[in-house]
Amino acid sequence: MNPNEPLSPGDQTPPTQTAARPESTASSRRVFLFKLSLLLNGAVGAVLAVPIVGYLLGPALKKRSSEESWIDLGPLGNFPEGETRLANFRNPVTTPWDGQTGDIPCWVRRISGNDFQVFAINCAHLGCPVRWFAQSKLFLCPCHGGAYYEDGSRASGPPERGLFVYDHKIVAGSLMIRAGKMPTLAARNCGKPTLTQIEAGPATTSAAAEGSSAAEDSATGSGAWPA
Amino acid sequence: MASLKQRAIDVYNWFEQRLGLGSPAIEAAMHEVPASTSSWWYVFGSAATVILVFQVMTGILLALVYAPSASHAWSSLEFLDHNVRLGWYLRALHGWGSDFMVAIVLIHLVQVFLFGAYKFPRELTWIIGVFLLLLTLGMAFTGQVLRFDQDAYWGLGIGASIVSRVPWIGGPLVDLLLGGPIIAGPTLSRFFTLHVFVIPGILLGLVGLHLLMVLRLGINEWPMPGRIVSKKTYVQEYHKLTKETGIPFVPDAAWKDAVFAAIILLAIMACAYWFGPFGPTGQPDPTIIETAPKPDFAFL
Repeated sequence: MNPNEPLSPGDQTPPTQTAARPESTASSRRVFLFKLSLLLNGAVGAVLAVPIVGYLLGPALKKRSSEESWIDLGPLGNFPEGETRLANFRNPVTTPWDGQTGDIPCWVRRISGNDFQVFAINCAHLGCPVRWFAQSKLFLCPCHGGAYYEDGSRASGPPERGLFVYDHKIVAGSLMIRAGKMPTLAARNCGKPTLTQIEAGPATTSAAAEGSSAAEDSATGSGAWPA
Repeated sequence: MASLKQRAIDVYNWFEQRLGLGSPAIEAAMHEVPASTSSWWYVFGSAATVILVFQVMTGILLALVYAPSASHAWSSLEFLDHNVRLGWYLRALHGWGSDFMVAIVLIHLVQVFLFGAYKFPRELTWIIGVFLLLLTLGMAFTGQVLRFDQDAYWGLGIGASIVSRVPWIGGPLVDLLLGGPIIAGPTLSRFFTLHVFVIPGILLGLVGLHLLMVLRLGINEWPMPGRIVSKKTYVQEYHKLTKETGIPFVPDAAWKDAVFAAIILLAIMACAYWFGPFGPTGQPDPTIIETAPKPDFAFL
């Protein structure tokens, strides 16, 4: 038996061909109904698209205020004057399955007394984790060699601006920062005072203000460059 | 024995009568191609397709164990490497398959470019091919993210930083990329969706289209210096060439494709055996800042 042979003569012959009727009112009504059905499906599709697009765009439509909040970094005593230390905090917005990714580090610089600067860990170039080198008084990025002075301003390398800075305040002897969102160059982050642009320039003014601590650390060279 | 053979033919015919897929498939496989295309230069496209199938298979096997959750993905990879019998080898096969696929797709593109095969009437085949390269790179990047280790975490940070530079909509785009305010659980979930459902779906669809067009338009003949492709005469000339020098693709030309695909699969298996799987490097803990993130070779 030939496999290409149809099962029965009537099966594969479209009924419209055999009928061979001229354009009738019935056919034009069918065409109209078909067009109407297309229109109906278009309308249903458009209505269905609203919740789907809303769901997809959900993360982008969230208000910044709902994602950021004040976080306690610990008592002021944890941050000796004239030093820059790493501090970790749990991101205010997390899911139960975030694991370690919900823990965010930041650099806390206590200039003196209640004078603080809190820098984001992310390099302003491509977000890699910058490291503080106390001897050379520089933040260095391992990815593409971005370098920042101790006050967070850009020293050299590809970053076009200084480190991102968190808003901070002191409440009952504790250092609080306003955080919750990964800092990037996106307009929403740059436009707000929470992550201000620091003009590039030498860090002499702040270094001079620190006095003794600056002299202490300047004894060693740049031997701490990462391997 | 003869009756057994006859019964096998009967079974084939039973299905063929209902499906009708066999004869068009045989016809397509045996279509005539210019003899000059039976060359070792023409084996890269089919090899890329074979690796794609290989990647789908090994990917499904890995998904049997992998936990697409930010808190467990890394440990599920460690579990695959150390606690699942031959889990390390499946991870290595998929990882090396990925590197080979990127390389072979790039070589295929270079060959098509050098042979001028992108010219009339195959422009759209080329354009779809470029998208297939981008999708392949998309698979490589999202796959690197699923290996949820330090490099994946900071690689996502790099991705977010790049996207943040898009004028006007950079901010919302970062949110869409990360699925939330920071790199965390929702980020891994959406990259899993992209790597397992979205990109492979588009990839397989476009590969089908790409192949259909290769069949429809014919494999381009060996180029000759000084021979200009004219839109008026090319199709006619190609058909004449195929008629005069044509050989059936299967088996006269396809055996080289098959041999090359086998060599490539063997090379992937050997690399996977001797060099093992990629990572995972350290845990995806951003508080461990003593790290120098390094992307996979395709993104260096």
